[in-house]
Amino acid sequence: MINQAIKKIFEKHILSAHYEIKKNGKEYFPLKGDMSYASYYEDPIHKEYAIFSQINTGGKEDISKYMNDIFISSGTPEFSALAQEIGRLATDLKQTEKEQSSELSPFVYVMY
Amino acid sequence: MNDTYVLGLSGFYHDAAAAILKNGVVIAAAQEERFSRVKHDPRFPVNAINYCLAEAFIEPDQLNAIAFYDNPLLTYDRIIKNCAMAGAESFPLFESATKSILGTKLWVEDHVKNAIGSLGKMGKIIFVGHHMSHAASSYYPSPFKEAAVISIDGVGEWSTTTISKAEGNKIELIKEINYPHSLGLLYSAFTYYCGFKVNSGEYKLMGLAPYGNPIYYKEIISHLIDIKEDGSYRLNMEYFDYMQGGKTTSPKFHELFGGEPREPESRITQKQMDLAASIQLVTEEIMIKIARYTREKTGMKNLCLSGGVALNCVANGKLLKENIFENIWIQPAAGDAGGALGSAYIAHFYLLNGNRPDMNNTMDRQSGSFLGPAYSNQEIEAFLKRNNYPAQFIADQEIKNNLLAKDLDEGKIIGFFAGRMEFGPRSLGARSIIGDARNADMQSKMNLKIKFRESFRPFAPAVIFEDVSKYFEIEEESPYMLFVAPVNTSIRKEKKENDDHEDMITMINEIRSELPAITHVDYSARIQTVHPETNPSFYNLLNAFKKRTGSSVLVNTSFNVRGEPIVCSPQDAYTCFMRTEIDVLVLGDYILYKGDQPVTQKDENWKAQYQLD
Repeated sequence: MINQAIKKIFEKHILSAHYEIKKNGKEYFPLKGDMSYASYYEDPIHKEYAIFSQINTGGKEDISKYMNDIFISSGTPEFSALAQEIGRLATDLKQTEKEQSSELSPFVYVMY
Repeated sequence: MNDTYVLGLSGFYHDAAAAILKNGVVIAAAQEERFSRVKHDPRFPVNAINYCLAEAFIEPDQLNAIAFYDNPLLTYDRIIKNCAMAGAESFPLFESATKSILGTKLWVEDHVKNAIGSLGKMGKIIFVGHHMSHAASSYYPSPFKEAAVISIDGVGEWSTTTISKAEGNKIELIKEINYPHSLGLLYSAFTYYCGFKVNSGEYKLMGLAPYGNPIYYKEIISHLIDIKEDGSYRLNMEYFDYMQGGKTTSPKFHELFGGEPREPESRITQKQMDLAASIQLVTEEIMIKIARYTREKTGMKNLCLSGGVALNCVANGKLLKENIFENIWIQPAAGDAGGALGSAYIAHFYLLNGNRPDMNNTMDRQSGSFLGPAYSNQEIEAFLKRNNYPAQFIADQEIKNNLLAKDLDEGKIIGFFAGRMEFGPRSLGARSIIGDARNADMQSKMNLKIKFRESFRPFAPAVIFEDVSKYFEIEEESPYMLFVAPVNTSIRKEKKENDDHEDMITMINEIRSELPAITHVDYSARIQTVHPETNPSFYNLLNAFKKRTGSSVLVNTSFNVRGEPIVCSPQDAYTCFMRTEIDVLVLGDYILYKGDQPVTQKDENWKAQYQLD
């Protein structure tokens, strides 16, 4: 059931965002260099989280709010509906993902 | 006034660790792998935490704050946007990341409560930004009152490269480069393509570079990465697969470099050597340009470095030579384990408004990075007696060191276990295997009979600090083995012409200097300077060796077999001693000789338990 929930979220929110990108060309980040730039350094984007943050995991609403704040502050309010589902999903996954593996994730180099 | 204690944690990705500060100074830190005996163990560091609390001699509810080195929900934001960009084929990545982050990593507080029964006085955990954890890990223990801070890694939440300015208690983040554009991931891509393990094989790629020529440099900068004069860069994601959850390199990458990735453990050819040389040159160029920009932007004369890319000690050596900064200090646990330490510092200075002790610009606060558990002579004696392992106890340090110097001079290999365990990936003389660097057979003997491998990499030298410029072209300290420098011309020997450039084992075993065991094919060496204030046991042994032989250099390699974490306890050390052809084991003031040990049934099955690294 959890797997189905994740798949549903992916199809409903992630893929629809993907199709919007293809339609409107709005990307979340650039994918290659641009000769018109003199520099690729950016001012810190997620300043409010850069030093430290407190994440309240007391309830799914708290997690959803935190996630929504991230989406809003980074200029992506289109994910607000997803934020609501993330809180619920996190509390469900907490019950099912208790065992930790000593194996490194195959995606470890990108921190997942 | 009451003491303040802050616990910092890292984990769930790779190299889980814990660190504890007392009044803003680190008093203990350790990687979980050393206790669990699982290399790079990513699991919640319950053993490392318990060690830190024991070393501090406090109960968990006395902790003033607990910090975690990463923000999992900000990372999840990146995953969502990454998958939205990548499309349908990124579903396996999304599924795996969702379960991992929302199911495990988010619930750090629960893991802490389950492990130690308390969240300390604050009753909650703070989540420190990943790159801020790295920056803090290098600035706060440095000797500097102020510094520029550069952190470069694969990726944290979003940042991959950050530049900060630090003064007094505070670090100000001023510029960043964000995912997917990452120097660490670029280097890892080449690590993978050359057939080494990502996240641990980067070191091998660095060691391979001196065999090659940078003939692919132009391809890399023309197609894979655009580098600006200020050192900022962007990758061309058409050549990489990690957004889609693939293996890092894309078919376009393979086409550009003329073939599929090298199979792990297959023969290394000139192509991999040249690729290694090329990406090493690109990395050095970027790091030097970033450093120049940072100096100009911050006006600081001191530099602190961290993040996994700061473990590229060849690049660090080149940076040192450029004299862009007057002083450079690099966190020895520059990778994610150091994030535990950095997050603790952030909690201390930002949450608890702690003050830095008077910094005198000379002594750092890393205690030589000897921050792990020590075992007293009494504990060692109890271990030996319990198992009936014959050993000599020599309390007189001069007699002991003279005896060991004689053994080293006779070509013996010693497992040296002394004092507190190192924090970070390098052995620095507390958990080290040591040998005579002048010995022409030492390299091959250590590789085949202890590490059980053929290796194209030389070992690293430990040298008494006062004598470093006698042997190497460096005058600065390198106590954490983080700088590579050339061997002095005065002790070099002429290279033999080798027609077969792919016969690396023959090449590495050639005698290129008076210290053949530690001299690379390009005459470079990865140097550790040894200092009496932080490392008295090892320093005194080196002095005894110098008195006997005139040489103040020893081979220093990690006390472990291939694929195993560095040893932690006397039991680990004895096991490694008996599984290998180490001749002598030193446990504190006890000396054990191989010939005296009880004969045990040869069990080769243990080799299967450790994955090739």
